[in-house]
Amino acid sequence: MSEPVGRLNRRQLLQGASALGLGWALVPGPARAQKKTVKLAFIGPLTGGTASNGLGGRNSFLLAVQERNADPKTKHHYETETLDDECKPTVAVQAALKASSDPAIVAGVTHYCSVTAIATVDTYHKAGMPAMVWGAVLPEITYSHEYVEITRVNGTMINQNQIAADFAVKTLGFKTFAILHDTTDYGRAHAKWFSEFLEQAGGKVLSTQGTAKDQKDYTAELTRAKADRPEVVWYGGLTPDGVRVKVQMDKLGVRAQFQGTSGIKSDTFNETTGPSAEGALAFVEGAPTEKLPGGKRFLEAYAKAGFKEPSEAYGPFAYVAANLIIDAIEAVGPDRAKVARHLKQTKNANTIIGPVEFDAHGQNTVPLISKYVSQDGKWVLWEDSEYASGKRTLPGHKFKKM
Amino acid sequence: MIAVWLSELVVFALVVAGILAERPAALAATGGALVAAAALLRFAPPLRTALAAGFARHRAAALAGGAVLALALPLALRASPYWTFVATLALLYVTIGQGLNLQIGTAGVINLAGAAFAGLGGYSVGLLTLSAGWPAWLALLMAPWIAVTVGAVLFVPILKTRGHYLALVTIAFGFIFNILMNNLEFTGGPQGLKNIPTLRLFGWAFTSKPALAGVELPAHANFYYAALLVAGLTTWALRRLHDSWLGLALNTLRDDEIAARCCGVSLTRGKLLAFSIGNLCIGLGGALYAVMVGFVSPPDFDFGYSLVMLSVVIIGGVDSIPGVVLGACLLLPLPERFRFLHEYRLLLYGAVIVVMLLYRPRGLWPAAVRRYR
Amino acid sequence: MPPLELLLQQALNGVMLGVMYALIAVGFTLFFGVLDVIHFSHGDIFMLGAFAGLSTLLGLAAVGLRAPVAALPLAFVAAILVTGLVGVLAERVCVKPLARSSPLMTLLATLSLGLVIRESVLIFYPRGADPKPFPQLLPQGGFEVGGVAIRYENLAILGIGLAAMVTVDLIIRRTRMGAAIRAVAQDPEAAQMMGVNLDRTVDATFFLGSGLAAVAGILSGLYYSEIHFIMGITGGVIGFSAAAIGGLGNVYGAIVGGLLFGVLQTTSAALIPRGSEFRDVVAFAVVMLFLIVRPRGILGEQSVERV
Repeated sequence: MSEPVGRLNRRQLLQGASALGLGWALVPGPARAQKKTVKLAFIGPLTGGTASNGLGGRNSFLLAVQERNADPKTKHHYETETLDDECKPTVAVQAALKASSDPAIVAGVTHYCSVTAIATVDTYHKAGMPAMVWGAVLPEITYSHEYVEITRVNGTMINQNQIAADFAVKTLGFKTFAILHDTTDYGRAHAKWFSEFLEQAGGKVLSTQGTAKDQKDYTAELTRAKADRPEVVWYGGLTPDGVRVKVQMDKLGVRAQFQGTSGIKSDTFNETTGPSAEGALAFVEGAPTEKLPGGKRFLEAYAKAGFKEPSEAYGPFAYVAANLIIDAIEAVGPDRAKVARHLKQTKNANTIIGPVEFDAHGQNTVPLISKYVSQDGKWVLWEDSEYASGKRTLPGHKFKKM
Repeated sequence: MIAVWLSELVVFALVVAGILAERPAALAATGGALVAAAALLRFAPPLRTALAAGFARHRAAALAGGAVLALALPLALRASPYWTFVATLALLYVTIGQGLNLQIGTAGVINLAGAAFAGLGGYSVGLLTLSAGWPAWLALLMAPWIAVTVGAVLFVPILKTRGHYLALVTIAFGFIFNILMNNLEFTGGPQGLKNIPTLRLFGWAFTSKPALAGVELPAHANFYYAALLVAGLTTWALRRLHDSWLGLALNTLRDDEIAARCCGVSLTRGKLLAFSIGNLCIGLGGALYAVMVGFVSPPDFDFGYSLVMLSVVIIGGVDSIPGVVLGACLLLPLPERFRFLHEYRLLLYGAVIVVMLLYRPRGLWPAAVRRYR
Repeated sequence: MPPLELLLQQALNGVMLGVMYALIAVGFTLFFGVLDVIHFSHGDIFMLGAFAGLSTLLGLAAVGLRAPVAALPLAFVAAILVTGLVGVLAERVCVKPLARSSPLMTLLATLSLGLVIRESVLIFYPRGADPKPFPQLLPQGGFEVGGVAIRYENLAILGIGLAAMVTVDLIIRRTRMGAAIRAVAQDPEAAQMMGVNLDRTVDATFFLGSGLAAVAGILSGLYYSEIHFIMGITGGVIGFSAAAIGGLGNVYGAIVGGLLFGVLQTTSAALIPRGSEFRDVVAFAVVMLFLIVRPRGILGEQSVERV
């Protein structure tokens, strides 16, 4: 019996290794023999427009599992099953069913897109499989139920937008905003919360326009927004579209500050937008990875593992989710119900994204929202940037003076 | 007769083994066996003719055997709710495919908005149950008719445009449907409609686990049997329709409009009837889907799914009733089986479709020439 | 009602879009002319053209050639060659073998081929999942006329687009190959009897149409400074729509259709409340209405139907 299992292992690992171009997979061979094998699932968008985020999450997840397998102290040997949800609800439900109906899979690190995460909540609940969301930010994913199976390591968009609105109005002194958002759950809900907090903070929304996901041309919307002369153009959406909005803003001569959401805080945004990115703002839940001792190690390990794709903004969350799940399995054994209960009680866990603690809904009550500004082609924490120190001036402030 | 049942049983066993095989060795073995069986049939003509004659002679027995095996499938798959779900999905696509085949294959009315009509069925069930408070079974009966009614929007373009222009009109219709569902408030926007109540018939909730011959089955088996019943009924009804005078009239309409009109076939009546009956089936499939999954959202009904529906009809065999069944039972589970390919899956799927079209341009089970006695 | 200069600005935005749509639409219409098929992977060939252009530019930059006057024409030539060859290959593999069977076959086959092209770029182009920055090679900056901001870049793109269309027009009307293309479009059998080599003519048409898509791809990259592997999906559907509202087989119709679609999109986004969400609904609804009123397009199909 052990022979075919071993072969499957090696084949899967070889597959992974050849995809990543490294040989780590073959290292923990001899140690595996005595350990019990436990399977973990990863689900995220591996194809389609948001694939770069999904692949970054998958790599981070694989990195976590690989590190724990290499650690001689771990009691189990962990295998992985990665599934593609294509950012589509039907496909996600199928992937979730596939993972949850495999008794060998104990828990999953699941979903980047809000639409897929909300669609599969009931599937995991029915199957009793613990699922930890690593990237979707829609509040309802945790707050619409009290299932013991569902937890989420990343924050919701509520906290993010409160900080973002306060910061833009009170700290930076902007008053008028043109809102653009994609018409998915992500963009729509972001726009709703941001507008709400903006009014509370004393800012004014001049116009709100929804645009299709993967839209190519924003000149019509930006021309319309420009007519009101806003101080800030705010975009709620993901990287590929955020790039287009920012680039076309400059081409049309929209003289306003650009502010985005967590969706554009990716290396790809800076690389693709080029010099246009300078001075763009973005907000992300959790502590900045590179600031924490473990985070630095994560980034180094990630670089060393030689993955084809960057980890992107939510890679660390997938990494943390995998680690928390493995911790739980190490503590209570590979039993779905026990792992779910144990995960939900996580308190003050020390992770690379800061302390993790779940509330009654399984939501990580992340205390910190990080503010970023794009400086010289990199996302720099606002507090450390030359914009905060006064050395440089935000584009929005420059335009205001003119 | 025994040979017929035996060969059906062999195919069934191979399919189940192919689905459930997890280890590469087992998968390779079943794959090899399937290829060997196909090769045997391909290169041993006497065997092929003998089997074909056997199936032709004992048609009733063959159908009965097939029905028994279809009923037994959830038993074989009981360890995996996932594959029961996929099998149910394939059956829903049989229903949808038969409707689409009537439109495209029999009557030549090109419809590239299959997903939109399935979506109309699904969204109708959602709105009728959630907003109007109807019980699921009543909504399920009503929803297909809503799909038919909304389909009337396309009556004028269907009569006025042909070929590629009609293809474009239906593509446009599909896009408009999707954008509207995504951006209107009462359809739930991008989140769609959630928590659609499940089906309840004679006090039996479709979420409880059924037992067959003393063996407990996953809850999805309920929907498997419901979808099997619906797929069987639509296939039977459309087979009758296809073999009737109306089916013949629609065929002539498809092949030569002028000749058909000369023979007294009403173009208006024929095309609109085929289009509406087709939408009834497609809407029914979509409605059942909504009840089974419990939610509907715009990405479930985008252009990509229209293409899957179209490929079911074309790969199976245009205007071929058994072809549609075969197409749905192949095209839905196969991509699932190849999930381990990850990123390469869609690439391979596209390539496989192209190769199939080039080598079997009339489909896997081409429509037989009509015979009249 | 927004002020006039805003409307003019939106019209300009629409024309910019329209030029790219038109270049794609001309391909659709040419293919339909010679083979009576809709080549649905054409949208992805447009995307491939953009990536081929980008790769050439990056390669040239790597050997030190950065001057736009030299690099850009080379990129156009290389991209036209690559997509032209891929277009001919697609036709040989997927279109012509199926041209005699039902149009549904070519439809599905070319759609699947488009999927293959798209996924190949995603997987095999380095980090193909990300949008790619496209170098800014056209003169930046611009001027204002009556409140309408016009960039030098816009003028250059319009100029290149126009030049490409005029070139195609000249090829079709003035050259032997063009005469062959027109003859095959009218009646392939009669054309063959008059000594036209059908296979070569069809190949030439696909080379020409696909090359135009490459021009559109590079222009799109220059205009938006960014390209992405999924840009072909909407590009293809809209290109087909533009060709159809103009009348399939009619080159001028395709150009008019492309411009019309672009202007429709931007003006409906500008004029209708919540228009940006529903702009494609408006555009596609107008397409449907057009086809009902004029079932064979604005300018009509050029070839008479054979009975």
